[in-house]
Parts: sequence; structure tokens; C-alpha cells
Amino acid sequence: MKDEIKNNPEAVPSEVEQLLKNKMNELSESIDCFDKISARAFPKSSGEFTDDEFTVTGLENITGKPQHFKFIKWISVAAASVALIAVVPQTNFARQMLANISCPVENLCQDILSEISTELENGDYITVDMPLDYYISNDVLITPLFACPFRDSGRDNANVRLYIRQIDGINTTQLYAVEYIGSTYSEDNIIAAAESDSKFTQNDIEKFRNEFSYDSYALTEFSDVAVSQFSDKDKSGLLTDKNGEYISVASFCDFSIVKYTNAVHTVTSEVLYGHKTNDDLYFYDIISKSDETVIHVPDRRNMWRQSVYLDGNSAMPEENISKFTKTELFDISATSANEYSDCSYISPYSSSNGLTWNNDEIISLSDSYSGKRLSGIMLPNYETMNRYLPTIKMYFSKFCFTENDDGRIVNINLKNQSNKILKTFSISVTDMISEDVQLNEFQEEIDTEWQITQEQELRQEMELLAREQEIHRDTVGFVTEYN
Amino acid sequence: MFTESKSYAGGEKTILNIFTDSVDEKKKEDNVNQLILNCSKSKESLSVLYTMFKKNVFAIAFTITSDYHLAEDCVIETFVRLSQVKKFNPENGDGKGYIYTIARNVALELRRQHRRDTDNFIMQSYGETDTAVENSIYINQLMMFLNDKQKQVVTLRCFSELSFRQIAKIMKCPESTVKSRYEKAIAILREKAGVHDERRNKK
Repeated sequence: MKDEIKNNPEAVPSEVEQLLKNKMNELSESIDCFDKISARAFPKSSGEFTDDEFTVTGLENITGKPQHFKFIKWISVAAASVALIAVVPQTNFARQMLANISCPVENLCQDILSEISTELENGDYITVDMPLDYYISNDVLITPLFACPFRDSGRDNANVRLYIRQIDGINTTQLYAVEYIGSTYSEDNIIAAAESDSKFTQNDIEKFRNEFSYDSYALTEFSDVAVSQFSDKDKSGLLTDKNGEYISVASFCDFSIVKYTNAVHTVTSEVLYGHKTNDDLYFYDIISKSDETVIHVPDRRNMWRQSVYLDGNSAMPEENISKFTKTELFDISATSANEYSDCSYISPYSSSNGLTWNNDEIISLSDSYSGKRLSGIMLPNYETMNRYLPTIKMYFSKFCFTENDDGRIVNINLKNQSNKILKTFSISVTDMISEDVQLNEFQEEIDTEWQITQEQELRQEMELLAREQEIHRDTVGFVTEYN
Repeated sequence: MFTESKSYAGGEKTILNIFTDSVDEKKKEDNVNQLILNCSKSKESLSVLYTMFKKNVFAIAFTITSDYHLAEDCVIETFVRLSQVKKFNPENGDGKGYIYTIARNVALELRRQHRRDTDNFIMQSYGETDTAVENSIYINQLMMFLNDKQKQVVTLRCFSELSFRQIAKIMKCPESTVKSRYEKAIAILREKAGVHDERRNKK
């Protein structure tokens, strides 16, 4: 390898590619496994093994072995069967063994499906369908407390249906997930099912209704504190992480009625997540609190009791296969947002309904004046989980304006992947640099065209003012000089 | 029909060539799609597909697993799965991309199952012959400088000669991301190859 590249130190990419290609061609040349493929793809029928030769039984007949030996054989089989049925089950060992195998693994999946049918009749459930690969990649944005319970089967048309139990319109942690093949859900194309560990009884529901109320949205206060660890290192309007990599950051809250250790809690979870601009990688952290106390919620994979294929094999992925990697972002000891935080934020859903984008779309923020992109990240967008949509925040750098912008109103455009402006947020530069406000929120919706007109008028006024000041200064100077 | 057009077109030869190529490409795609549809019943179809794609499937598998024998297993598994496909719809995409998608998923699956072995440099297998061992080490040494996604883009582009659009479809990400990943990966490969040279020269 080295010799070949040494001879071409200035190798252009195509030469490096060619070199790799040649090596790979040589390597794959030696592959010869069609026989094995063929043997598995087209197994020989058993007919080929039944040559027209004498079997043992046939030989016995030929040698004239007396037929009554057959009778003895049958008696011994019958005796063994009687022993197996009547005697062995009396032993403790056998009882234990039978207890273990009394629920064949093949029925586990069917049991879950039957439970779903019963549950749907008795409880309130919302249903969400999505492609399996989308759920695997983005599970944090769909079910923050639960990881995707299914492996990547490699099938293009695999989909997932989630059944989420609700109590008075609030999501609970009683979930069921079903993997099915094809675009339409039917019992015939189901291949796997999963059930959550939590199961709510009627008593739990009554208890919740008597003891709790869950009307108000919590603020994403932990996220507001945590984002101060991201800075705008070169004051360019782009946030960077501790390693200096450019990132885009967003957060949202999830509200759930959680049942664990046999107790019911109302839990608010904050999810802070980021996207590394130079690589398609996401990182996230989640923190949960109940009654203003931070609580430990089980690992997202352990929220499922079981996940099984129809044949009884486990469908639970062995490791995290999501696009999101857990990273420690929250500091429980920090109580208030850093006064010198470089971050501000907008809340896309705060004041308007009907704001839509595709689930796998990167939503970006850019300065309408310079067109500079400030942030770009996927946002949760399932209508069936709309309770936490108003809590979404997209963070960006306070230094999105330039030095000459003093006094100007900065417009931040929220755009979809096709560069279409979805909404415009107006920010006064004075507000941005004010030290009275630690973390500024900007969510005033302004009609874009009106805003552009306003901005032009403002610019004209400023120019006029500057000209007047200039004239005034010249006049004063003249008068002073004259005097 | 196209030969006729070619003689009339005169000076617009280049344009015509592109047009003819795309038609050929389309025919080739249709042929692959037909073979995929037939391969569950016809050993011959499977054999043709195997001959056409075994090298590329192996390349994808090898760059993902970094292991010769796992890659070989992946080739077997990919074609066995292909032979079991019952609902392939050519309208949803090209057959070539379909095969590579299966190969990629199988390779990722096998790598997950054998992660402990493939992570261990000593445990990796490089094939039987000297050339195979040398080539395996060569490719692994270069590829180890790339992250997983860069490796896959390089493989699909460089070994399988797919367009960025096709790669984007397989990897389920925007075309621009694929392009930037590829450019970055090639830059790294060149740079790292250079580093190797310098070190050698110093010695």
C-alpha cells in the first residue's frame, strides 16, 4: 500500500479511489460461495435421499424376522408413554419444568397482541404509525422515555404502530408497540410486538384523578441552565460545544403519568439535544422531575417488559441503534441560567397553530438580513403527542447580529428544508445584549412582508436622522468657527 | 433506433451518447429488477445476480465488518435473503440499490453480533491467501481513519459506483450530506496515506 502511495504522493482523489478499488477487486476475486448460497436458497428435496435401495425394515422382512417383535416394540413404547404421563409429572422437578414451559415462546407475541385488543376496548389509547427505521433513528423525539423496542430488520417496508395509553388526555407509560410489514396495518402482516413494563389498573387511574392535577406546562428550566455550556467562541452567530464543534441545540418537555415501583407519579421530563453541524450526529440528555424533585426514571430500554417476534425470539436491540447518543448535559446542582450565556431561543409552536413540517426535516433558523444560517435541527412533530409541542425551544447565539447592527431589529426566519419561511421572529439588538435578561426568548410573530417594509422604513428614517445630525453638526461647527 | 439518431445528429454526438447511455442504464436496471423478481424460483437468475454483484456486496460488507470471513458470510446471507424476497417492487427503487441496502443491513447486523471479535485487531480474519491478507490489511488500515458513515459512502461510491442520489437513498440522508461526507473521507484518505509515507521515509 505504502509503496504505491509513496510513488504518488500527490495522488488526486481519483487515484486514491482507483487504488482502493483495485485492492478491493483483488480481495473479492477470491470469494466463491455460490454453492453455499444455492444450498440454502434451494435446499434439495428429501426425495433425493430415498434411493431405491433396501431399508433396514425391508431387510428385516427379507430375512424373515418374526413379526411379533413389532408387537413387543409397541408395548414398550406404550409403557414409556404411560410412565411419562402418569409418573414423571408427580415429581417436583417435572412440575417445575412443566411450569416453565407451560407458556410456549411462540405465544408471547400473540399474548401481547391479545392484551392490546383487550386494552383498546377498556382504555383510552392514541395510535401513531411510522416507518421502523425512522423510529429507530429518532426515538428520542417520539417517545423520550422509551427507546425503540425493535431491531433493524433490514426490510424497507417495516412500520411500527405505537399504542399509548392516556388518562384524561395525558400520556402514560403504558405503551404497546407492533412491528408490521407493508403500508397498511393488519393482523396478517404483524411480525413483532412489545409491551411496556408499566400497566395501569383502574385503581391507579382513580388515584391519579383524586390526587393529581396536571394542567400547567412546566418550563424547560434545566435546559435553559444547561445551554450556557455552549458558547459562540468566535462571535460568529454559531454555537459550539466544549470541543469547539459547531452545533445546533433544541429542547422540549414531555409530560407523562409514570408508574414505577407500584406508585403513580406525574413526571415532567426535559430533553435537551443537539446536532453536530459537520456530521449527522445527534446527542441528548434527559432529566425527569416529579413534585419539583429530580427523580430517576429507568433506562429507556428497560421501560419495556418484553419485545418479541412471532417465533418467540427477542426483538429488542442489543445496543443503542438510535441516531441519538446519550451525553451528560444537565447539571442538577446549577440552579439558574448563566448570566453570561451566549444563547437565546425561539419557541416555534408557542403562538401559532397549524405550523407543520415533515418529521425528518431539518428546520433551520437564519438571519433574514444577511441570510446567515444560525441553527439547523430536527424537531419533534407528532400531532398525537402535541401536548409537549409548545415547549419546544430552538437555541441560537446572541451574536447573530453584526457590529453595525446596533439599534436594528433583527429578524430570525424559521425555515423548512426547502428553504420556505415558516415564521419570522423579531428581535431588538438592544434586548439581545441587555444584561438584565439572562436568556432571551423571542417569539413575536410578525408578518414577513410587513416586517420587510417596516425594516426599510426604519433604515430610511435612520439615514434621514444621520443626515440631519450631519447637517446639524456642520451648522454648529460653522457657527462655532464663525464666532 | 438510437443508432439511426446518432448518424443524423452529427455534431451533437456527446449529447446523444449521454442519452444512449442512460437508456442502456435503464435497460440494465430493468434486467436486474427482473432477475430479483425471478431469483426466488430460478437458480440461474440468482447465479447471474451473484456474478454481477458479489464483489460489490463483499466490498460493502468488508468495509463495515473489517473482517474477511464475516464479509463472506454477509455475501451468503445477502443472496439468501434476496432469494427469499417475495414483495420486491421495482417501482420503489432500483434493484441494485435494493441489493446494496440488504448487504448494508446484513453487514451491520453481523457486525453487531460479532462486535467483540471485530473490535479486536488480532481476532480479525484477513482471508487465506497472502494477497488476500495483504489487501485486507491495506484496506482496513486506510479505512480505520474514517468514521462509519464515511466508510459506507466511500464503499458505495468508490466500489459500487453508485450516484450520490442512490447512496442518499440507501443511507436515508440528504444528497448534500453524502457529497460532503465523501469529499471529507477522500481528503482524509489522501492525508493519512501521506502521513504513512512520511513516516516511512523518515525511517
